[in-house]
Amino acid sequence: MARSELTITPELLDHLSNLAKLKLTEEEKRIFIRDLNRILEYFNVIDEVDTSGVDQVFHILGLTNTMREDEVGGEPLSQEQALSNAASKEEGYIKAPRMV
Amino acid sequence: MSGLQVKIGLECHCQVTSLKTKMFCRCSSDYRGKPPNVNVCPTCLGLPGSLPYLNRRAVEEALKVALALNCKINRKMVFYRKNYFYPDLSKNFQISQYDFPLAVDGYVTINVNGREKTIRIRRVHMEEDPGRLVYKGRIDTSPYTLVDYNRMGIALIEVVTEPDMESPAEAKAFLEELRSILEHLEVSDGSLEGSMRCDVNISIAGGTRVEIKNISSFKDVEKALAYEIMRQRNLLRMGREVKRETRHWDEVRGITVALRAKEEEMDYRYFPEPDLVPVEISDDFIEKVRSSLPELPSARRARLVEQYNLTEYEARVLTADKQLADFFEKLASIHGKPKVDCSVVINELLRLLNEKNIEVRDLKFTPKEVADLLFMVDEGVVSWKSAKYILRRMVETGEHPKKIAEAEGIRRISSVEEIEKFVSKVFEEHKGDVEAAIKDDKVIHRLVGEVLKETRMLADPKITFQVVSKRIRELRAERGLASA
Ligand SMILES: [Zn+2]
Repeated sequence: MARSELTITPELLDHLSNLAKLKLTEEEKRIFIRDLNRILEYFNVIDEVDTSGVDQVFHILGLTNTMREDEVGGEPLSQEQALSNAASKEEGYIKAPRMV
Repeated sequence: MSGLQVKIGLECHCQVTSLKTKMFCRCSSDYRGKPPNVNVCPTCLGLPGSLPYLNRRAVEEALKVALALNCKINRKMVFYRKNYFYPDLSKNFQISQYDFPLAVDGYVTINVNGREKTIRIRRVHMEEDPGRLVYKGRIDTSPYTLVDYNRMGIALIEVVTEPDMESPAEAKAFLEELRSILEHLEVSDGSLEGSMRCDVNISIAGGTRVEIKNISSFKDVEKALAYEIMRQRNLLRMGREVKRETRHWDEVRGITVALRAKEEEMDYRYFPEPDLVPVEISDDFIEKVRSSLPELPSARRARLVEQYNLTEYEARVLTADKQLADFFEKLASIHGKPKVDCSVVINELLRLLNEKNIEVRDLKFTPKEVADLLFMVDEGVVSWKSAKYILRRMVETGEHPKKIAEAEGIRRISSVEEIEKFVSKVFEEHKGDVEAAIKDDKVIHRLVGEVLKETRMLADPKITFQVVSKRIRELRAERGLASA
């Protein structure tokens, strides 16, 4: 198996923290770059295992087709419960920042 | 400018409105018209500790669609998390599909101005609907966003086409055919607000691809595309470049607006949803669903032509809306004159529906009442002209045609004696026209029009014409003039 070409560069870390909406200090960035690259190295070790002829696994339990019938039920929440964690609300809606 | 080739691809999001519950939880799928945030549970909100539980019927319904769109079905399908931060999903990811979607490589045949064309389907996959965002005023000036999660988790089927459409008219034809297929399958009711939404990709002359997001009805797609083509052509004409960007369709102003200027490519970091196991789709299951497929629009068109002797065009207009085609077939089965019945449905009824901006389902009468009206015409009780008026009143009031005719004194005047009385009155009041008509046949029609008006259009036009012509001939004879 080819070793992963992926390395965490400062640019890639900025991209990832952007996507995750995280603001990192310079110190945190330094730590993350070091730690994430270490984690990638572990994957390189895993990549050395010969997996040719092994099917791709999507779920560790090996189950398939876990489905339910189309019947209403479960534990619906009241509006009050649904909004209880919202930082800001208005007339039953959750209030979020402007989007554009 | 028209030489510049336009390429359009569509991503259609269709709600599975035939289900009782959402896709991964037992909340009701009937979210419309409810106060905000009352149709939710820990699972669709994505609260810690909750687990998604797949609705079996949702898979069946999606499989129906994939088969109707002539797709190859993947024997194993997998759900993925599509990660993004946006308030329409409280989990910060949407359960969707990526590799191993339900189905790929299908096609739909459309017809534009009598020309057939095949539109390839790239994939059909399942995903959950996000919540609904409400803006104060316009999206780009709203001071904040209001979020309602009642819709979040409703089962969606996404149909992605190849960029095979070359004009807004072709895109419209595709969407109409897709809607009709979904309605014939009874998977999705396109007349429900927001049940079919669309993202479009468009590029001109092999240039940059622009995406227009979230067009909230299929009807607006043609308008959004026409605007966008004009905008891009103007840029190209001025020698400016078309930016690769995502735009939003502003239905109020009828324009597209740039949402985010090109920043970095959206990166959804898809990965297999660890809370859901793969779904294996057996040949037996596929065959069971395939054999239960109802008659689809293309087959129905062929049958309508064959069974009722309709034209290809008539069959196409009827099947563009399943409810309309159903209405016609019921009417024809009662009244029994398919050519007339078809004309009444696609010329008169459809025009009234469009004018009032309502759907067949909104009508307060059934085909039986329309048949009663047509029987009144057949029996000579009311004229064609009156029947059209009565149909309009039926749409407005829902009253039975007999009742409308009675209440408004509508009948057909076909007795020659009675018409002669009206003719005498009109000849008395329009002496100038009578003189002109004696000299020129063409003026006779003007007099006929006056007589019909005098009878509130109740008189039989043919008989009226005969009576008026006869009078004019008599007047010419009295003066020793030959008929012109
Ligand atoms: Zn729920």
